[in-house]
Amino acid sequence: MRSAALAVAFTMSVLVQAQLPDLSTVGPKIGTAAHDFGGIDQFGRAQTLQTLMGRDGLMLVFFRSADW
Amino acid sequence: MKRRGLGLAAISYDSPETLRKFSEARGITFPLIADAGSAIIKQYGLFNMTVEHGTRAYGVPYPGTFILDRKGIVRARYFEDAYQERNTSASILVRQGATPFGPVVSAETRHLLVTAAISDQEAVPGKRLSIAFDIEPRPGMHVYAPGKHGYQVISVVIDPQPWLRPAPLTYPASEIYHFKPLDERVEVYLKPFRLVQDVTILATPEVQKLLANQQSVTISGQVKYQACDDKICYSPQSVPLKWTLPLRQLVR
Repeated sequence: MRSAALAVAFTMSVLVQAQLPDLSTVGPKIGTAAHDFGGIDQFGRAQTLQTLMGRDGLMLVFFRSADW
Repeated sequence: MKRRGLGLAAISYDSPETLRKFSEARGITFPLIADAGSAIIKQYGLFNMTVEHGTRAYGVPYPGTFILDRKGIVRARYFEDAYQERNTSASILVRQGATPFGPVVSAETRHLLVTAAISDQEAVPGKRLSIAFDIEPRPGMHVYAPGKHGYQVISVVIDPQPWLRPAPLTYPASEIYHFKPLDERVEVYLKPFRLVQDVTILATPEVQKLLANQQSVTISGQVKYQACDDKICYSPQSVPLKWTLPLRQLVR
């Protein structure tokens, strides 16, 4: 069952990759302002760009999923 | 990251509950932002349009990392081409100039000193690591940077391995050296500088099978260069270096 699920996931990833755009063209560019946002974190806390910011900046990671 | 004054957060389309369970299982304490409905992902222009509506993956972003300054301006960005491959945070920090966290090797020749270190303390299939080569030409020496000349540009050659894919070497800005006897101006490095060589530990089924019983991996390579001073150009040199990292298998 797990092997089948992995095979499906792998096939899906191949299909997805086959159509990916040029990733240098997506998202905010270097030198531009990142959009502020509001969201809830895993501890139920409200977060914005400013609450997440460190003393000198922020590493902001967009990832696919923690669920699959 | 704290030493560099950077906050850290990660965003996905998962629910807060999913992220809570994930962070508990992995011991993650930095904020994971639940972007149910992918509102932030869309706001950032990262919504993956190639995923079919109605599928489980619908709503995921093109995965990537932004380095923002204190004012929220994007200073660097790193995106991943392949689903199975990811930059490590240590690798991104090294590309930002941080001190690597992994094994360090050093070598010296009559022309220069090399300290070469890997961003991470372990190798994992699918991880893209960075090797930082901090190079210090000895006083009066220079080595050649990429440019419009016929001298041997300093380079890194990583020895081929079936489980490893090197990326193109990253060079810093160079300076122009005026060689008066020939009235020649060439791109060189005279002062300490850093070359960054990214390498990806492949995660294909073949490689995972190949590495299944290994406890560690060894990455090896050479720094190749030609050095000159204001009178003599020395013969090209090759400095061998190697690093051994513990290998951690993917969690299934």
